[in-house]
Amino acid sequence: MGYIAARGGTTAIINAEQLVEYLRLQGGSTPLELIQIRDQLRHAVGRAMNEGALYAPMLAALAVKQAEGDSIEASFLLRAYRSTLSRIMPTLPISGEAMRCMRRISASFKDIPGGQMLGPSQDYQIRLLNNLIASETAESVTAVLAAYEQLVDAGMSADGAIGHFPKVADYMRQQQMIAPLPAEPDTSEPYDITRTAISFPCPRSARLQSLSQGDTGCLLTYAYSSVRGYGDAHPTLAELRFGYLPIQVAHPLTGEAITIGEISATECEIVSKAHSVAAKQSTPRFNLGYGFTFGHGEVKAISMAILDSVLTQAKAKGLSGESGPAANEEFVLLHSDGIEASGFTAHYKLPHYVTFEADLKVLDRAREHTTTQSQSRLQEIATRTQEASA
Amino acid sequence: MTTTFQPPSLFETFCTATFRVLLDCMARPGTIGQIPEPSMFTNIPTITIDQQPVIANRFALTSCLSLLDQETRFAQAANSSWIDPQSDINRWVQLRSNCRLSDAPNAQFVYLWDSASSALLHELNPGTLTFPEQSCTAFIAVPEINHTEPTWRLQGPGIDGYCDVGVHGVVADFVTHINATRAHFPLGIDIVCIDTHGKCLALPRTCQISLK
Amino acid sequence: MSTTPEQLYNFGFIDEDSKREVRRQILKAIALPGHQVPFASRDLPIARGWGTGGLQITMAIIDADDTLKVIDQGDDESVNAVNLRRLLQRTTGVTTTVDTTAASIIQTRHRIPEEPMRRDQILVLQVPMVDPLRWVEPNLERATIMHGESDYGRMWVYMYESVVKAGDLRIATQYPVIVAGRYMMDTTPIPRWDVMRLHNAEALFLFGAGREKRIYAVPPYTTIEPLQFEDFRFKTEFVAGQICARCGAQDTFLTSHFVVDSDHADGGHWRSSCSDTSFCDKRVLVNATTQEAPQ
Repeated sequence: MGYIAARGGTTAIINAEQLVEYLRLQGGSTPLELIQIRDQLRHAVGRAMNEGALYAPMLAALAVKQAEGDSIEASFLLRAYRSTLSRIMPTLPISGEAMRCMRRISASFKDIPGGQMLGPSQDYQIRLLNNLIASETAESVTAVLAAYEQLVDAGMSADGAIGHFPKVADYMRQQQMIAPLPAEPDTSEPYDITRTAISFPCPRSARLQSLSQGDTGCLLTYAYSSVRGYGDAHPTLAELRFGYLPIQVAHPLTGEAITIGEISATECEIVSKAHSVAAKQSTPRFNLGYGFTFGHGEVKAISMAILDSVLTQAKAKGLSGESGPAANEEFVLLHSDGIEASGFTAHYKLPHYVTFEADLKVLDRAREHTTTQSQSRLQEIATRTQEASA
Repeated sequence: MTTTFQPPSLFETFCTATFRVLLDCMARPGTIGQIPEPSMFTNIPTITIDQQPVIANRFALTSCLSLLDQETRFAQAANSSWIDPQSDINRWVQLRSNCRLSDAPNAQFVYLWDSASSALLHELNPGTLTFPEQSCTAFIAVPEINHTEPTWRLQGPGIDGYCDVGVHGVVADFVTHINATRAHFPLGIDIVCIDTHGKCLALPRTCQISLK
Repeated sequence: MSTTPEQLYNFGFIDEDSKREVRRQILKAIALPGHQVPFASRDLPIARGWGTGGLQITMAIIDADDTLKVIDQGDDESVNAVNLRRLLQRTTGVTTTVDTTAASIIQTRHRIPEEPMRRDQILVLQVPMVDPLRWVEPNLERATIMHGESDYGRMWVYMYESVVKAGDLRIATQYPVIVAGRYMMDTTPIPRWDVMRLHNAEALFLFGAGREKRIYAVPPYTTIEPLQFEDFRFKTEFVAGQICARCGAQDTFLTSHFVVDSDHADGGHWRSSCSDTSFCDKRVLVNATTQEAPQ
């Protein structure tokens, strides 16, 4: 049996698992604690949660550790874990207005009701490597914390109200810049792509669910393509907010709304100039796109909002010029899941001996065919030459 | 090798065993399968027809129930009329399966208490050309199914040539009603007949029935 | 010494409602031979594209009494087969086997076993690409309508062009077939050698595509017609005179592999042997006992 290739699979895969563990630990450094990952790698944790479609910071920290920082692998671990949990009940609809904001900005107006709040942002940092955090000590950490707490005390508002702001989109609705909300809110349960396979055309709730668990890099690429030139997106950021959202469910017996906790989340709304061509609308208005992620994921939320807006306009035939690949809903939604895309791309590592052998046979026949064809062509030319000279 | 699973509950075991019977019968129309005893279900409410209490065929009702969950819409009929969603028997099914109660055209699963109710089959959703799988599946209780006294001849995928089977104690136009559900393949209703002993005969929409 | 508590999963890993959904779609798939039935397709602890569709079918149908065989490329010891078997065994505790004739459920990638399957057996095939129309119509919405209307004209044009260009139907695996005279179906990357094993078979064939979220089925005694032309018939990979270097079989699907051999100038040489390793092993054993083993 010695000459059958790739046998002994069992031993090989168990050894491979051990080697991965060894590589992670061989440097002898102190093992990372989950709490350190949760607090100090919060973007990695947030990305694992939103692409893994499960809000669980400590489990996400574990996933990031186990995946050695690979974001798709970490979200894959969380997704697989999610399948083992039964879906108990949907939460009640929440509005971003309920968010306890740490940050909210608008690019549409200089001043907005409630004011701009920059919050925790790296946007205006000069991107120089910071040597100071390379050598942090307990003392330096204490000093940083104390300095910030002084700031907080000084800036505390008199009434103690923190972080609640009206929505810029609501102001825009009042001013009839964007379409009003429907008189009767849609109370039907949203589409759940984990329960029913997505089919096209799909409802907007399926699109939003699909985008919000999409790969950040992928959404970014599609949204960017649409604003750079392969599309008709002209977004303006109405509002971007990051903070804590309370989550409520209906009590199973009384139906009463009960808050079960809060999640850290990013919400984004963009307006896009759809008025020029959306013929069906009675009054020309801007189109609104919506983006949402667990954790602090601004680029993803903005990309999602742009794509939502582009796809809504594409459906309403409101785009002009070349609409580009990002306006193709099926194309965007079926290729933006990082876990699916990476799984399938990686599957080419699996053995394909059988299919390759079959391909070889077809190649042999094609070669034979080409040889016969060129031989018969040569013969034809020879015959013609003979005829001509005769 | 270490195993890391919880042993399945009685109900889960029943659901899996029942599914394997349904799977085998659906793949091989004419095969008579045996639905396991649904011992975990007691106190199935009776219904009243002509002031008489009528008992459900526990095999037929519970094997239908084994496929239901919160994503499925269910309805049932007896004596050629649909049973009120608010009735005890519908609440009983809902409480045990978490299913949604539905009207006939939207139901994905129906349980028909008797062959007479096959007159209602035409009200069910046969699916569409693009989504024929969205059609309804009907479980029908019949008095007796056997191979010893054949009444029908079945043909179609899953059958080597033809297969004869006996379905007894059913209304005269039962076959007419069933065949009408499969006149426009791929649209159609898939049917499972189960007798009082739990003998199961599946008639997927590909199966054509002629009287012997 | 600290002990890590092992997490307990549901029997068959996925939850009962997810199993129920797969079961409902399997029944519809059987009632619509060759038609692709959408299913929600849960995320598994195995990557998409590595057999998650086949796994979910197996997880939804498997019973504690089943005997399971898992193969990849026809081989029980291939790394992926080992891995999937490990997951199924851990979460169900069922008996596993390498013997095709002893299994009640066989999960496979790229092959149908050489030994004919019986009516009490189910073959679960892992499917990467579900729709033969994808080559001519990548848009799902439009392809679904084409299937609904039996609008297969463009596929025939594709087949015709391949004959003109390559002198053969230029499809090695995933050969398209018409099932029960109605639906065009992708046969998954099984070689042409295996395609006609689906025709009027005794066993039930279930196809699962996890990433593509589709289930389809070929019931027993169902006709399978490969796409072919009057003057260009469907041909398998069979080459007259082919022989397995191990067991001497002349009528099996062979794959090539390199054999290390220090006597040889290149450090070894290439050999062909049965891709169905369990069948090959059985024949080697028979040959050994009857002293007819080829050198």
